[in-house]
Amino acid sequence: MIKRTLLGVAIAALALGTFGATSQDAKASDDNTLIIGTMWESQPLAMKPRRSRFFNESEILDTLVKLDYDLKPVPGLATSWERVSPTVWRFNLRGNVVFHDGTKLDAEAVKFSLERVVALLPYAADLLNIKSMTAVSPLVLEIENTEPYAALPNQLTDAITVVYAKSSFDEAGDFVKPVGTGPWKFEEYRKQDRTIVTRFDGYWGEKPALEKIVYRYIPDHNSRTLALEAGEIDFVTNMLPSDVKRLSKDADFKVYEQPTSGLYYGAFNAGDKSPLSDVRIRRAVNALVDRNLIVEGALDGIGEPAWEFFAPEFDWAPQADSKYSLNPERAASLLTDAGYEKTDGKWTKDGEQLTLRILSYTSRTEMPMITEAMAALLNQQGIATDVQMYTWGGMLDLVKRGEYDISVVFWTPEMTGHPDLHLKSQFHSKAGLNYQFWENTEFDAAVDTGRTLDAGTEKDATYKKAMNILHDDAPIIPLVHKVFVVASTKDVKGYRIHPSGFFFDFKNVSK
Amino acid sequence: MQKMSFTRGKLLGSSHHWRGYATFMIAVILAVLILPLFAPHDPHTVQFLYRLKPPSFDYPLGTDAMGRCVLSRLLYGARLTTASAMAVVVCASLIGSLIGAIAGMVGGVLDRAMMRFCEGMSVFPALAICMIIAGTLGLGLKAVIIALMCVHWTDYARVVRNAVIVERSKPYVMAAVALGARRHRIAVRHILPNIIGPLLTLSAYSMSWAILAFAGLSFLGLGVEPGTPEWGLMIAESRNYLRDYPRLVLAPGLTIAAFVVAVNLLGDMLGDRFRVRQINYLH
Repeated sequence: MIKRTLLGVAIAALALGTFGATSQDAKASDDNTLIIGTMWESQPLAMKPRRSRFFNESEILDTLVKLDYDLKPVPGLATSWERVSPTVWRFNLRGNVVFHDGTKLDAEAVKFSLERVVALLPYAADLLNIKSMTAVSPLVLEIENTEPYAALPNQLTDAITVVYAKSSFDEAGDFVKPVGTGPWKFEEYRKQDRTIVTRFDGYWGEKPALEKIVYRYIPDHNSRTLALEAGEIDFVTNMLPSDVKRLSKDADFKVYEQPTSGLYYGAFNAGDKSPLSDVRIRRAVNALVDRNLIVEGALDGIGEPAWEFFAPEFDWAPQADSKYSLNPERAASLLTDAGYEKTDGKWTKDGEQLTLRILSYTSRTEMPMITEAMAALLNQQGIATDVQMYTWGGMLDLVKRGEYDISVVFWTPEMTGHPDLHLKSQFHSKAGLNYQFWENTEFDAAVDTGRTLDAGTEKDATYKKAMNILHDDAPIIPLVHKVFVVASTKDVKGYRIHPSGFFFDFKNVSK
Repeated sequence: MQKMSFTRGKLLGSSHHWRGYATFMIAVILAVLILPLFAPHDPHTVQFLYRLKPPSFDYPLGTDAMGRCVLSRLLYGARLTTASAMAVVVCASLIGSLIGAIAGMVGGVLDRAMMRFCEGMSVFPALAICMIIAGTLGLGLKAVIIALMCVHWTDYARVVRNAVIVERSKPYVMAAVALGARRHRIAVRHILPNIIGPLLTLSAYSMSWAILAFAGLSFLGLGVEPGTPEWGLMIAESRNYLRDYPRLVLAPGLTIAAFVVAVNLLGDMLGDRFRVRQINYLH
């Protein structure tokens, strides 16, 4: 018995100690193949709002409009676009574009694809706001919106609007596999293991240098980086902060860092079930948490402290007139106003300490750290916390029922270079993703109007108003602006992080 | 030699073995209660400016990623882990023994039904069932203790039921039956004292199982609240620092290993004393 126990302990220790993926199959191969280790599984055979982003980031499929490295709209499958009437946009399509199945891209094909997207993906209808589509000529598509819709070209950069060939769907109109126009065509998918794409020689743009890209799914952060160091893969995403530091010092690897507009934030429950229904407490919490310490403590300094909603780097993003700041005195007076009293260093009301139930999820490894750091900072200020970690789905169940005070989440940077997507889908009182019971009619009006306005002072003023409401009424506590980090072996050349954080752009990469 | 073992077998071990076991348990309980008093710091105090410090005089095992004292967390974790594991063992053994005794004494259809149910339970991996139960009950310490108990009582039921059936056919029980003793009296007065040996031995092994399972579930994020000083959770929270600060994982890992080995050694000792041949019911 003792022997067996000792053996068990030894095996357990070994398992803990190595963690490692040490499979021998894929020694990082020849010069024409790039192997990437990803945190999320690519799932190329499913079309889902979040997952089908892979089609765009891997460039199996193209969008009509793309974003350059400054997040400005640039031609994709559409070479130019113009507004022919307040509600109608005309897109001139690129000629000589063929899908991977050999069929030609024309206005009818784009129309068919966008119709499928709206039918199959829940939030596409609101994103695109389409009333009707007309193929005016083989290469001209007109999209009529239900209202004047200036945001449309930007919205068409969203990954979910990629253009699918007809053969991507079966006869019933259900998604089967991705057939697109991109430089890479879908080759093979091995469940829970990898997705392989190969170069498409009929691509309309410049021919990529690589022949094949393998997206390997390695969910464990330690294993993923180890795989890079062991030479099993060439490229790794979503690294742990401590690995970033180590690899930065190692001449065999290249580390790329780039701020993106991704935001870690605590979403407040503004409904009746939570003390945070009182705006004074929401503001107080915002004034009590030192974001610098969260970046330092939870992320080893990899990230930007977030005192505002949109990261300040992006000039298309509207900012409120003021930012949050660490201000315990102001928080104290807000809490006193709200009827709380500080006794023995604890904020209490009717003999009970102010206690916040904080939820988050574990599939992003940094979430527990960020959540715990925020909770610890609130504890130090006399606010008790009850932290619970769930799966994403488990957390969402509670959040939808209002059984929470703060849910710490990461808003994936599906940036379109336009504030509409972020603001309307998360905070509009009618938005499907607004689980915060936060309603503000002025804010609703501002974001409803903002998307219809052309660039100019009126648009800026409208969004500034929305941002000021968001700041003052404080439905969230912004915590950290994500700094996106990837690493590769030193042989990989030509890679650059796209600031959306969700676009690999391997066309220019070689080994 | 033969005489001695005869005495032991008959009298559920001579009294000093009892004393040994009792002393050990009291020592463990005391240690668990007292250990936190030796903690140099509050295990919850977060100091972001003092994170990931190497061991020093002030912080004998260094600090973790949130600047908390690792030694203090280990000591407080001992209390939580031991208390929870004990709660599991005590509840599971009471429930399991009761059901096992009833099955063994009553026999017949009831016995068969209960044993098939127990076997059915043991077909599934215990931890997987725990995760389902704990997941259904919601997160929290209570949920995990209940979940572990729910899968664990069957081990006791089977051991006790088998022991009862063996004992029931022995002459001293028959004598009691002949004297007209009632069934529950036979069970409590005659049989129970004679099967307490295997029961105690099993409880020691199941204690180590409970500790491992508890740490395992905490590691997976069930059980205690993040930030609580608990060994499994400490490993989970430190695993991102495994490469650069292995001590953060090793400290709780080795503590769990040492604790489990110690409890198993106790089980072996009890097994030798009570001459329990085979306790192989645990996974």
